[in-house]
Amino acid sequence: MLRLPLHVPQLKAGYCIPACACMALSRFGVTVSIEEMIRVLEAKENSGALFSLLKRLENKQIAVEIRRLKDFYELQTLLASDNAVIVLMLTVLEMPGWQSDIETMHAILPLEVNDEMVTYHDPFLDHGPMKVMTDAFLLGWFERDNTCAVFTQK
Amino acid sequence: MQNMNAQANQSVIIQLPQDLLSRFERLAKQRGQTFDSLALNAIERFLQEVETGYIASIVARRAANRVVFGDLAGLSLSVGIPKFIDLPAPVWRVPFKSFDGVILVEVDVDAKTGEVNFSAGEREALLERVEAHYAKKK
Repeated sequence: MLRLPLHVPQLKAGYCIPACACMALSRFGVTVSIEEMIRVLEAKENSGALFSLLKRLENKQIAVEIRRLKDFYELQTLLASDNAVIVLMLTVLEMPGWQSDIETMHAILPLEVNDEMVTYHDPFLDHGPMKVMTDAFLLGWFERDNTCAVFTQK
Repeated sequence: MQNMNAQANQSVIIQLPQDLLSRFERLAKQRGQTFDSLALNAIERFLQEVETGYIASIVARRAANRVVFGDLAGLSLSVGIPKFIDLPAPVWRVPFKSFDGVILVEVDVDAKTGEVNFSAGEREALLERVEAHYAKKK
């Protein structure tokens, strides 16, 4: 049984991917500072980072795969099987902490999903985890073709 | 009485699948709308788009998002509500704003084909504009 990832805030606008990467690796007991992750993933303030660069974090112990999942149930299965998953999605107004008039491409780390709610870490916020209705989450995730990065212990 | 019955018989009953129905109900509740207003709005918009033969605004917005954001997450840009522009060729005009509400670019999506009119050069220029916009605010 792997550990529950700790919440890592993104520090500045644009660093959601590095923050999520830190959280994903913490599930496997790997600690990397967000500053180091920003450097590795070439993230820029307000400009963000390329999701595909998460592949750079692959090493002898951890595999990283960028995938489009078939559906929500595949995500549920992945999370139940001790993986860490970073989801790329359009923010939706139901997500706590976001202004209702902002819809932007963002990365979050889901922890648990069921038919009703998704529990997740949002690096945009200072604390976590948060919860959002599964239906609202699916609207945002579908906008980015159910894309995610799956971290698996080799 | 007979007239009223005749009118009632003309109403259309749409049976939605149970899972779709409960999703609509939950979203309506969460958004503080009634189920009827949310569902009717969605159906009305859908029919309008089918009748006109143009792609739905939400499809146009998704296409524009794919081109503008690409593989990026964390770009401080927010997509707005597409506007239908009729002339000369019908397009959905999709605004992209900074988080403080300034429109930094409008991207046209062909309302018939869904083709996004936004070149790689224009995208590069936009990314620079985003950076400059926030740098100015520091």
